[in-house]
Amino acid sequence: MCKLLTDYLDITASVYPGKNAFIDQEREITFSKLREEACNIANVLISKGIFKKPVLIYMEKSISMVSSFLGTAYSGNFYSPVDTKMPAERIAKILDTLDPAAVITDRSHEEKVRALIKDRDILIYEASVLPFSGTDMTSEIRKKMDDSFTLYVLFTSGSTGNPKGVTISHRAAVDFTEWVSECYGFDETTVFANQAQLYFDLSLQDVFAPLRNGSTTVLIPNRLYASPIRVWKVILERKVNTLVWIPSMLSLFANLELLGHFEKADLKTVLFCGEVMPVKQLNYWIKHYPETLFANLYGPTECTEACTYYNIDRKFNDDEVLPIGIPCSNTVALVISEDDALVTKPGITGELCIGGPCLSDGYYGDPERTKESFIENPFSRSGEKIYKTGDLVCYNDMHELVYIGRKDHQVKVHGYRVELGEIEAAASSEERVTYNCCLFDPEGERLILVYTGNIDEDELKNILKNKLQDYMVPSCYIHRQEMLFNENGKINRKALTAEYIN
Amino acid sequence: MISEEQFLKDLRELLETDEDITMDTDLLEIDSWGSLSAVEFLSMAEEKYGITVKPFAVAEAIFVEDLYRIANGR
Repeated sequence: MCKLLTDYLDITASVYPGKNAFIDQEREITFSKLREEACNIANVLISKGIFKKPVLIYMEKSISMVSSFLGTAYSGNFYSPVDTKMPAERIAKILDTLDPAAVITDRSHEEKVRALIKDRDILIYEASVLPFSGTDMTSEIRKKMDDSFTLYVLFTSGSTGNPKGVTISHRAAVDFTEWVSECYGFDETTVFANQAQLYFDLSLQDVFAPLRNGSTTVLIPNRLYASPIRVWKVILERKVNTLVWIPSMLSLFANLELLGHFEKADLKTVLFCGEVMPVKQLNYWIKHYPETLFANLYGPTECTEACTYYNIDRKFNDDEVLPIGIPCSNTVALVISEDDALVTKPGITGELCIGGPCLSDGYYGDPERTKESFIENPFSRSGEKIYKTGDLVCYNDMHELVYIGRKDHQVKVHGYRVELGEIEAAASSEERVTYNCCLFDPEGERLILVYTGNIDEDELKNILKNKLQDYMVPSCYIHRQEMLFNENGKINRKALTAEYIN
Repeated sequence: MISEEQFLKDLRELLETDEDITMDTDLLEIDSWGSLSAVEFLSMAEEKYGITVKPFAVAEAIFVEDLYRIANGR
């Protein structure tokens, strides 16, 4: 049994040394070459005396990025990938929290990184993968490591305006990889077409499953998804048989009626996660691929990736809602009602709480928020932790979990998790904005900023573009003379929603 | 028939951009052409030009000229 994610690669590089592990637009890499690259990077980090420290990864989705992840892991450190399009202000917040010991970037981003990030050790990928001149130290480091070591920290939107760094251990990553590989029969014949960015947890099986199973992942640049036909050509050319995509992307392919008009791909498995999958579009996919296994995965970043799943095994009408199913192996899923009782019967709504090895170790450098969200399981004497997802669910008559909505103001925009509070905090930081409230229109998947103050819409939008990631910038702005407040003096979100959305 | 000039103006308006777009431009070279733009183009064609476009025709488009042909019902 492998304990560390890198143990997988040690084995697979010897079983399938010459087989392609990853393919991107520039090159292909075999398992043995991938291991070699990763170990070279690891030795550079080890030679600098960096151990058990965070390493920021700043590059585009690529094989080089995967090598950098693994190199960091081999060195006993943990990686934190960020979006290269992230505004400087948000990067500064992440640097404050993470305090990375080093940054790995490539030549094409070197200048930008040096301007953005001062006083850090900056490793250039192209130089770091060259054969290491000293003695290989990775096996010595391996002896010091166990599965409780942190593997990565992924930053997600935070309600106070500061991104939260979700900390995931090797144990959690290995547990997820074991489950997803066994459940969906991934092996050396599996070929993934990666869609998610590598700083998004939906990409985990695309990166980890090849290491365990000898599968191959085709890393498709996200820009290419603006031209669905070109993505489909890659799927056909590379003989892709497995997709793990966000529902919005599957829906786009359905809305453009792409499947019925182009050559059929050999799809065995299509998984989706990250947001609610509309059944109408799912039925379109099933109609064209009746033999393919489709499954709805559910899980917040704090539970590694998926913690419940539902393999589509019956017909749903277009207006029905898909269940999120049952817990993955090794996972505990509790539904806790408003009065703190354990829900076991169908039809009663409660908050979904998750326990098990998939659980994050908490928010990096933020014990307060960790304490709020990761609590002791009140129904167990062993003191194990559970994570309060903030998602409201109930059981259906088949005892499958069904997602109902959020307890708070977190929304999903094209699969990305967004705290409305983070957008409001960014708008509030502009002194000409007096009050503001961010609303979400689920129909059009639009963020709407309602505000008062002496600033026009275009200027406010431009300011927010420099503070927030692109998917967090509201597309619609409503300037009011006066804000609406409730009797407690708080901004009346309910009334604003009724006025502008319902 | 929609003129090229008018079409490019409408496309820029749809994409909320003042990028330099010509008939030869590859859609992927337009920064503001995103994964949802194809669906938005379908709505625009119906609303502005009064034509119903087959969605897969837009999915196949590579260059701006392909969209122009679609908008002109060819």
